[in-house]
Amino acid sequence: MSEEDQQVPPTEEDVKGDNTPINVKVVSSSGEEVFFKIKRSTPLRKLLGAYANKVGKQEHTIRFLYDGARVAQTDTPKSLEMEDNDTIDVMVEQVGGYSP
Amino acid sequence: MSIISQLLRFAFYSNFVRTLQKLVRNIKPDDIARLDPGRMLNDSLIEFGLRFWHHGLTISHPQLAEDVFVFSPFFYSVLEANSPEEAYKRVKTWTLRGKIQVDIFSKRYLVVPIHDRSQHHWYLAIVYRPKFVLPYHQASPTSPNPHASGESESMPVEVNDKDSDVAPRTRVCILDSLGGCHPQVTSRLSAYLRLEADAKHQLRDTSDAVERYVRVPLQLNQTDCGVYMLYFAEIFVEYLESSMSAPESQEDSENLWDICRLQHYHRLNQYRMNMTQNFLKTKYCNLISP
Repeated sequence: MSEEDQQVPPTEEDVKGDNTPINVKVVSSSGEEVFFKIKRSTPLRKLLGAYANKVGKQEHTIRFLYDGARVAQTDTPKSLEMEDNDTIDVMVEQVGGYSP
Repeated sequence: MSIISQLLRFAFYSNFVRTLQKLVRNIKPDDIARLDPGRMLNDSLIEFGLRFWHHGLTISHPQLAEDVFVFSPFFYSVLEANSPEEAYKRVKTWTLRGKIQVDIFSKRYLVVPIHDRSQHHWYLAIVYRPKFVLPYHQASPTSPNPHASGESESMPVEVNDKDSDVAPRTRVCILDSLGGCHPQVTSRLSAYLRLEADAKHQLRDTSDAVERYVRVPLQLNQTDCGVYMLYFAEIFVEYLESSMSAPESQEDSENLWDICRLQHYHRLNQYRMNMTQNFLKTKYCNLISP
């Protein structure tokens, strides 16, 4: 378990006071949890980068899912209407053809 | 068509386009390169392929499109990796579409792409008429779809099954281009449906789904299972829709693929090429509205 703060420069949202950080739990398919603190306007791809770094995986092999739907590059907690203590599921790329 | 149903259809459609465009934004050049012959498809392409097909149905067969629910390629992986209760906790919200709860029991077809990690293999499960796991004659209580609630009267009831003399049963149809045996799939999906019925409809007395292996053309190489899987989803749902029953006999299944045998190999070759075009269409053009 760990906690990280995403540091981003203040935006217009900050000035309006609508950008308080929320806590997000990232859970792997085997149930390991990593906690992050992230501002509502920060693109979740930054979280994905931080997560990939932490677990030593390449970014392009990792998928973030929120309510089972893929998180897009440009999604933010605000655009997904995420709430404090919400969970993001992290999955690893699946490739199939048939290799015996 | 009433204004409300038009609005519902519009909401359904725009959710769709948003989802597709989001998927496309996540697809990288590395993924696209997997559409070349001889390469294996990954989860991003599988999800895009299924959702693009589903999107096409909203235009060509709007009623059928509303009866189909496509699960994420990771859905079954979560069911497989955890106990039923633990898995359900994790996928409970996966039936939300843009914050709107979808009642999966109001759908006729649940499309579940399955990834076999140990064999690096894709195959498909289609849950046919999931509402039949609910207590007998209990149509989905929150179903907004009049088609679904009137179905038990208007559709032929399947009574041929030896273990169901009276009640029609939910079928889990398994389509595997390696012809593999997957006894755990039906029990895991049944457990999921049981927990979903309990959580979303407070219905406890559910019955288990019945397994059906569908005879399908087998893949001829070690790379095409993903393409076969997408192809099976398309053909099989259309078949079920037109025949209104799951194939009961070996003969039924053979007829199913006989019809398209001539086009079969041609279509598979085309499939990879079409996927590339579909991707570009979604990325750069506005999708046509129904």
